[in-house]
Amino acid sequence: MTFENDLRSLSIFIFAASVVYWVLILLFLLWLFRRISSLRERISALEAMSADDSSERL
Amino acid sequence: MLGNKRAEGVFIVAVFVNILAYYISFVAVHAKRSDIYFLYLHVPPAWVCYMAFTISLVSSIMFLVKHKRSYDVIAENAAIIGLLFGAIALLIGSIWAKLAWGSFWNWDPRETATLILWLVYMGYVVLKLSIENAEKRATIGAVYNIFAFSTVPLSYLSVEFGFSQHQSASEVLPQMSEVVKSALIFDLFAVTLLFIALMLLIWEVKSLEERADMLSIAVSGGVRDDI
Repeated sequence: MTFENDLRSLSIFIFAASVVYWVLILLFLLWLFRRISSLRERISALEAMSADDSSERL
Repeated sequence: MLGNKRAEGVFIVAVFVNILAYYISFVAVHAKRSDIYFLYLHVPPAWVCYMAFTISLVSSIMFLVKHKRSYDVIAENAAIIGLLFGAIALLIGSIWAKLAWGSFWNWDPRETATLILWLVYMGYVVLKLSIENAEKRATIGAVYNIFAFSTVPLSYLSVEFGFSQHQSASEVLPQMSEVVKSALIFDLFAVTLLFIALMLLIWEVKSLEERADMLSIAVSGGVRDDI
């Protein structure tokens, strides 16, 4: 194997490792942000329902 | 973006510092030995993995001593992040192994011990998800976590077994030039910052989950049996 081929395969391995690193972290972040936004929506809906309940009782 | 200014600030700083660390490590090794670049992709996640599980252990002990729910939440959050970085360290380690040793998986003591560590902590998360009663979940989880931590020194010290091909820190550090070492230290700092940012974000998720649960109880007028 020539030096250029060695370097090329090394670059592919390094690229694959970098992709694994960042894709896993980005997927985790994506899950966190989606969870935060869905929870915020749920809380707003529940707060609106809770406010309706209190005004009906009054 | 998140509503929580502290988490938002730490997250943005962490992203910038990590990009900078990525660039610095690339410059540090590019002109010399490119294969050393794996060091910057493999060591920082392994460092965060061990650190997260250590924080998880300390929090579990604190929970058993003080019975404060926040310690249980920290233990669980740290274990989840430890699992994420453990998976990254294992996957990148196997790519490096293919290059250095010729095969993705060699059943080397370090590989095997780290896989056991990862599975044991996955068991901790599954255990916590499977118990409904919050008090029971926290106590059983904390006790399990203390036993699970025994796999951390097992994984760290596994390179000392005579037949391991994996180099130990004491073997690698003297071979490093000052530039390579400094870049690695900066990388460890950057990834620690990312760990803190992720801890704050998961804390935000747990707080919102708790608030949503409280509100749904208030709206339905029901009584929770898991508090």
